[in-house]
Amino acid sequence: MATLHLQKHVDYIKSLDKKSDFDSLVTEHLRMSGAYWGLTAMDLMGHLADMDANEIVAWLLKCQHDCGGFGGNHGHDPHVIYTLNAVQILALFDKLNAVDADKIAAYIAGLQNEDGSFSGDEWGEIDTRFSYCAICCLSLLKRLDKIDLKKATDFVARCKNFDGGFGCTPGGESHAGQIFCCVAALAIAGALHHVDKDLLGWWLCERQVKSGGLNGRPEKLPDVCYSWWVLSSLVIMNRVHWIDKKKLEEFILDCQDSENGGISDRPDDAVDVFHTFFGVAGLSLLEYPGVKAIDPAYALPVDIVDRIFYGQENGFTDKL
Amino acid sequence: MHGRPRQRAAGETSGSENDKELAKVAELQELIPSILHNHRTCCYTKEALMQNAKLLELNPEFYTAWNFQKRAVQHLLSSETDEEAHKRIIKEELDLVYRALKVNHKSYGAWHHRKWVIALGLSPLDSEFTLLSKVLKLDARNFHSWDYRRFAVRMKGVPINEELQFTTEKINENFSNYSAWHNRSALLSELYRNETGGKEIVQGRLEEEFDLVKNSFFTDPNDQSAWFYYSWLLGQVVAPVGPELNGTWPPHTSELVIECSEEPTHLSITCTCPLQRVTSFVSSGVPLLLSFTEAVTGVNNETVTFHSEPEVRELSKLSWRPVGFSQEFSQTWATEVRFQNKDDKSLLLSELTNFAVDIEVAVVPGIVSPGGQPMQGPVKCSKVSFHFGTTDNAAKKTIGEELMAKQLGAIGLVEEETSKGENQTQIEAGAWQVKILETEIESILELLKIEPDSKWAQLTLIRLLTARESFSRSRIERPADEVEKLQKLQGLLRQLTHIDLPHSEYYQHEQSLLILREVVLNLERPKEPQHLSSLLNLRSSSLYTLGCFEHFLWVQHLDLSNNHLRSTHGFEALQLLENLNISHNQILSFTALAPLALLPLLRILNISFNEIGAHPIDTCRVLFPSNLSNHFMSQVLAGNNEVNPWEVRLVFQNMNLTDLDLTGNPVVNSSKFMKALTAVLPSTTLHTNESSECK
Repeated sequence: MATLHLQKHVDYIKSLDKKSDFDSLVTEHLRMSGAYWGLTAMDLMGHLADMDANEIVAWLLKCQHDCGGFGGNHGHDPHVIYTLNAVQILALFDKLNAVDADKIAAYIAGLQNEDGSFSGDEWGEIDTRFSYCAICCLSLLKRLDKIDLKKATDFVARCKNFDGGFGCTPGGESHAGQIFCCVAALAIAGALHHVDKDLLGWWLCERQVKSGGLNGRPEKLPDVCYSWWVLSSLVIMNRVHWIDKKKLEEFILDCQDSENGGISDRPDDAVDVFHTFFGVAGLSLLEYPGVKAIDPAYALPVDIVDRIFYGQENGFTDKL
Repeated sequence: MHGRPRQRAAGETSGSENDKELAKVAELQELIPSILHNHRTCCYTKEALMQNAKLLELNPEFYTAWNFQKRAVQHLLSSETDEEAHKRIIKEELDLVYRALKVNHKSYGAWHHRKWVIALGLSPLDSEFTLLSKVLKLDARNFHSWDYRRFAVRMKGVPINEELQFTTEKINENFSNYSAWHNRSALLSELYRNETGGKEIVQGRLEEEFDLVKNSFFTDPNDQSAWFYYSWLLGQVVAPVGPELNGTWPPHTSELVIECSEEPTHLSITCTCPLQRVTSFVSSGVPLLLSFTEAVTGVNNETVTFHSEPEVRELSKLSWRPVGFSQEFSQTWATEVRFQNKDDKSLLLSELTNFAVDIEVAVVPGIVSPGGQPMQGPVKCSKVSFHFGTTDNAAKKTIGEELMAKQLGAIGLVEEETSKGENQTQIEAGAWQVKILETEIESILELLKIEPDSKWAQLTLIRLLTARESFSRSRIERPADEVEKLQKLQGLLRQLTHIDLPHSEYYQHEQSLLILREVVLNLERPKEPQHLSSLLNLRSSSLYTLGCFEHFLWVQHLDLSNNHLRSTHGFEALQLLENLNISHNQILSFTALAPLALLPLLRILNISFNEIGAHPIDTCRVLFPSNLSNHFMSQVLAGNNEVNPWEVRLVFQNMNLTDLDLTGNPVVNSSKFMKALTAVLPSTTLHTNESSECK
């Protein structure tokens, strides 16, 4: 019976910082995301304190541009994805007050288009992933009123497909990653009435294949990252019991590198921090013992999110 | 990051692989700082561009390099006036993207750069279709290329029918092409929405579509794509054109007796409905409820009108509210008719004469679904009689008997009226749908002869039969037949669960809906002539979900114990509910009970023997409104998280419960939660162990 090699994964994540190999270089541009994945996984496993918060925050702040947006690493252009990840990291360390929330909000608001969609950056790529980044980030900063939220959710609703799922843009094929972004964005915006939960829940539970893993769309291979995107969407819609949880748990545990730590996309493939995070997050949603609870919409630990939205010390009263 | 085999131990890579990687590392370490520098200093020399191209071919995901590239293009285009030079510049860009796509044909950055370049309008679109053809041949499921194709099609103005033909080709090449089926559904939806007469065109095509998709799954019954598409086609056949009214309270031909109650500003209301069900309660006004087949907005004084003899002042200017969490959309709408003196709120009953009122939901533009579909109408929903009673008990009894006698006579009237009214339009509307459904049922039965164990075929058959049943007019004439049909369907679902055990929870959910339809049918033809109670007993009914709320608007006492419910989603429609028993279910959190906070008359709640407090993951956490979902309700959160868990406040703070039974939930062992509950429900009797009195 496989178990979670928690300490191995903790050590694996800690080792990543010092690497300068090929993998590290080709992911340099998304270091902000890598940091978010690694740090959140560490917190879910109860080891966030092992990391040097001050060093990380100092590095992170240097990624911010004058416009308010954050780049993936020093010298890299601002983008809404890394802006969200930066805010998420600050939330983990309870250092949201290290940034000017209004500035970030203005940057994000500037990315909203007439039709309610969001561009990733000044170059105009439109994708519902960016709608999620914008809505999630602004919600964490208590600045959702800085965008046209109705237009934003109406755009997301227009990306709904025949199967109840969502794509990148209107007319785009349903894909579990996009579905997570849209369902979570609608949840955060209080607009889940746009989702046909029975129809989508059925499509999502049919992502589970014989091995117990989940794929991202029909007739594709299972992948641990879908353990997050499919699972969190189902949890948000209260239909996670429609999949075989035990089999999925076994699949995720099977994807671990029990010698060197880390989790891979499929059993016996190379590990990386991306799949390590999504594997651990998936196990969290499956209530695996020893892993903290994660919020399915904000993709941050539940206690962090509760602190932000219900903790007096985070200035909640100014919202009343 | 995906699909790379794990190395057995560090250092065990094959020599040549290792060398290749080391070379790339060296190159990247040189290129990256150089490009970032050039970008910062806006240096667009030939050398800089060559370096950038190299970087993008090594790593097409390096998004800042694509940004640099765009700035370079802008710079180059503005410094050259020659049209030929422009063409050359563009061609080089497209070549670069092509090379980058060869490295990673799923690179968001590469595809977007191409889109950006083409959008400049300086190059022909035909070569794009050539590229797309190539890429889709290599990987027919590449959603980047399908998205790009949609962009190119829009730019070129390719007619929908041509694109439909393209998807047909792709499907014929390989039936297992979900992306092609998806594109087809998108094109047909566009046709339906945007072309004049689009609705009729699509309906006319449905037979063709069914044939195409059946070809597919008769060839390969195990491929999912065709079955999902088929499911959608079925939906197009049976879906109503827009939202419809499906329930009201008080129901048609009800008699209301309204009297003063013990509370000075409250009324005692007794409603006698058809089938002699009697509902009585105390409220500040007479509630009127409207239920729709889907969430709608626009219910107000213009869209809901009243005709009464004589004119009744209290019916003008009613304010309708959505019953639910949205301020705008709801499946259930409610209002209250008050009979109060405007100034001192005292009741004016003695001055009122009895009256009968027709409630009509009008067709003026206004009531629409979130998708913008208007409601079809006008619909006469109810004729209700208001009697203003006396406190004289003898007189009360007489009125009661009179009303009862009236009701017995009214039943026949209701059935006649509804069957007459419904029959005609239903027969007209249902004809083409029934024809298609019957053809399809035959086809699937044919397939099941060859593939009896196909879960897709079995599930599809059940869906077809369920749809067919909903068009059946024998509902009113021979309800026993209908019940038999529903039980047969339930049997088929049980069979399906045996073949496809991993999805049994989903099938149980579907089963629950059938069980409820049976319950509703049985309610409409009570076995006993006298059937007075407003209690709905659904104890131990294998319910995994609750639905059909439009049929339960009259319920005051609901027993749902010993089922498998996980939330109270939809319960907000049950506005008259006073007593709810959901003990022995699978309620995992307080948030699952959030809809109950919207029930103004709820006084007794039994949630004993559930699983509240046993689960770290709350599956209703963002389903119902809270601060997490942009609903900052006007509550003051004193103290911190420790003492006042927000779920407790969210759910119970506005409830007026007399009794709350929590026995058998692990949460009773948490002093934090029990303290919070006591603080938020000071006048409620809390039951936490079996020895205490339970109702």
